[in-house]
Amino acid sequence: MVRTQNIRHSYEQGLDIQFPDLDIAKGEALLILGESGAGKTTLLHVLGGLLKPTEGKVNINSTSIYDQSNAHLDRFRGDHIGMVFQQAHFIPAIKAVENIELAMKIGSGKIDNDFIQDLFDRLNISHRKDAYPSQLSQGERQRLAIARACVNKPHLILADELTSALDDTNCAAVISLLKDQSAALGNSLIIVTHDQRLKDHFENSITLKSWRS
Amino acid sequence: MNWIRLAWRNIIHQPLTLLLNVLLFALSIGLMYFLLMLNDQLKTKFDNNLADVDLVIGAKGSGLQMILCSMYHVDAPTGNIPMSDAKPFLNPQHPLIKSSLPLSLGDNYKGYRIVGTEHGIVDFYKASMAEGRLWNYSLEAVIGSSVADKLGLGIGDRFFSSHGLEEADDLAHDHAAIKVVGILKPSGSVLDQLIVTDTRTVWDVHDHSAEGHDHEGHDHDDHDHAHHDHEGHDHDDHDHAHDDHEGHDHGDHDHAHDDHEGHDHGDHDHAHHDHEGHDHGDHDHAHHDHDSHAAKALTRGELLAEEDKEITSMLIRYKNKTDFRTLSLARNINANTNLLAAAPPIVLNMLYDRMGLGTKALQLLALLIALVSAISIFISLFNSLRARKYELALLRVNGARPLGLFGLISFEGVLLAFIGFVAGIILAYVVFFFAAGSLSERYHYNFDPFQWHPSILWIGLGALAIGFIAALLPAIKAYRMDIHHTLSK
Repeated sequence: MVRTQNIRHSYEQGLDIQFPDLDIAKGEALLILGESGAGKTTLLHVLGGLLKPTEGKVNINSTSIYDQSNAHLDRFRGDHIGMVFQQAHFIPAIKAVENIELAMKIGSGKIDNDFIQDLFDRLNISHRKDAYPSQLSQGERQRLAIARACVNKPHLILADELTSALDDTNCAAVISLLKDQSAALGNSLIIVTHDQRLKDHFENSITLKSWRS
Repeated sequence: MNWIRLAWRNIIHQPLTLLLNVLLFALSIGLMYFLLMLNDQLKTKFDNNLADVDLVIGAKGSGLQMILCSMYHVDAPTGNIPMSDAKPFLNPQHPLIKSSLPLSLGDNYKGYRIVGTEHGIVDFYKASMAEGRLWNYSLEAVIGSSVADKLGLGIGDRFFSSHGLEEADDLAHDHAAIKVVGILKPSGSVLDQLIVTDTRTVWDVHDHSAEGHDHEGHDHDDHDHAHHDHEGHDHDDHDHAHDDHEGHDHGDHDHAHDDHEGHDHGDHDHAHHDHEGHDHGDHDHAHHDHDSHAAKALTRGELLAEEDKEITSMLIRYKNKTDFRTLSLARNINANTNLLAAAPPIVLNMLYDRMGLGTKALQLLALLIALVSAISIFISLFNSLRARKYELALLRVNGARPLGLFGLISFEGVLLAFIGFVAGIILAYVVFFFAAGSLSERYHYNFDPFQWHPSILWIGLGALAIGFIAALLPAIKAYRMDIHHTLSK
């Protein structure tokens, strides 16, 4: 499902990061741990099609994602990849459910309201559908972010520090929800974090070495 | 939820910014459109009222004032001219003049000018009757359609004129009631705003005002019998006046027996009999009797014979506009007579130039406001972009193309401009609607507040272009945004 080869990324400032090869099967989950500066976000962006690495290949669903045009990559990202970030940002001018509808419209071209309702039910935020993002709590926002990541039924979900800002209760709840959704959709899941609390929730984990000397 | 709705929701999410942007934009668009409408309608009205008049002749003074007064009825007369001077130009035998029209101005009723002239004025302005008939006697008047509407006057109604062009009760000539005998159809010309009557009416009303109520002082050979201010009279005098009347030679005059049209007009005893039969303590009857004393309308020949009288001005149409004698006619009048001659097209072009200056200044101001509103849209989009870059980056993560973001931001600019444009046009029409009332009162024109001006299309396109240009830089910034960079911060 997801396979990387010899990924290396050099920043203009001189920072040069080499990443281990990954190979994740369909439906599998992988936890990538690492201290800050280890290149976690860089790796996640490379996997998500947001940052073309200086060297190496990323294959998702047998497509070498950086060997296609930018337009195709945008399309591919919308179709195949869902992402969750540490800070859940939404468009403040529209309601929670409208943010999800928009993501679905952009990604799939059409809006499936039944599926969205289903997602909201499973994430326990149905009662907050018509709230504006600014009215949501941190935990609700993160659940809404998971809804956004799942709405286009991606093959791969990438999560970047999604629990760092949450307390233990919310952290456990959000992780189990993410895993459940992932299982329900049958997609692969990669989480990068420095949050050691997550170790217990995942069977597979690797640790990135810090490249800062 | 789609891009267009998103753009809309984004701009109404910040109502104060929206208000500022729309207000600025509406102000500039509104001012521009208002000026265009006003200029256009004024020019159209002025041109409509040219009525093929080649020359206006009046008393010495300002040519512009004379033309504004005689053709547009917005200014006071430059003065009067004696009939002896005016005579040659009113003579139907004049070799260069196809037609001419005498005007006697100076009175108004509730701000609507009363023009003493001839029946020919109706043809001059290509107007026609809606109801009633033209005047046959002094103190009969035909009113323009606006006068009828605004003042609610109908056929058979009577009113007192007052002096000048402004409405003033204390200047009312309350001795002679003028009776409405006809109403004109709307012609789009200044005639809509006028009360037209025979030259004799103006003379009658004025001779009275000049000589007060002293009937004994009247030269009754020259005068008609339309001058009975019974209200102000001492009744002894009144009786005396009647004696005078009876002593008249009525053979020359046809009495205006409006209510007695079927009568033999030679039967003056009949009319006077009415007088004598009156109870003079009751003054309400006075108006009624005027008709029976009013004289018949003047023919051109009779008018020319009244050498001691005065008129205000004359409207002249040439036989041949290109005849060299025609071309020098105005110059000759100005050089060799006590009269002033001015050609309306030339004077009007001068006026347009002057008006144009003021309009240009205002248009420049409108453009300046447009520039400021463009900058305001630019700044608000640019600022909001800083706050919104994260959410925009997330739209890219969801699969949005850079062009999509470019479209979103530029559409927000265009949408702001469009709302401003619509608000501006509405503003212009609202202002024009309220201004039209006072403008038509002051300038004696009917403005049509709901007329489209073709420039609305260009203004609209210009507005959208301004919105787009103002949004261009922020939109390009959104287009070129590096997702990785934005999300890493």
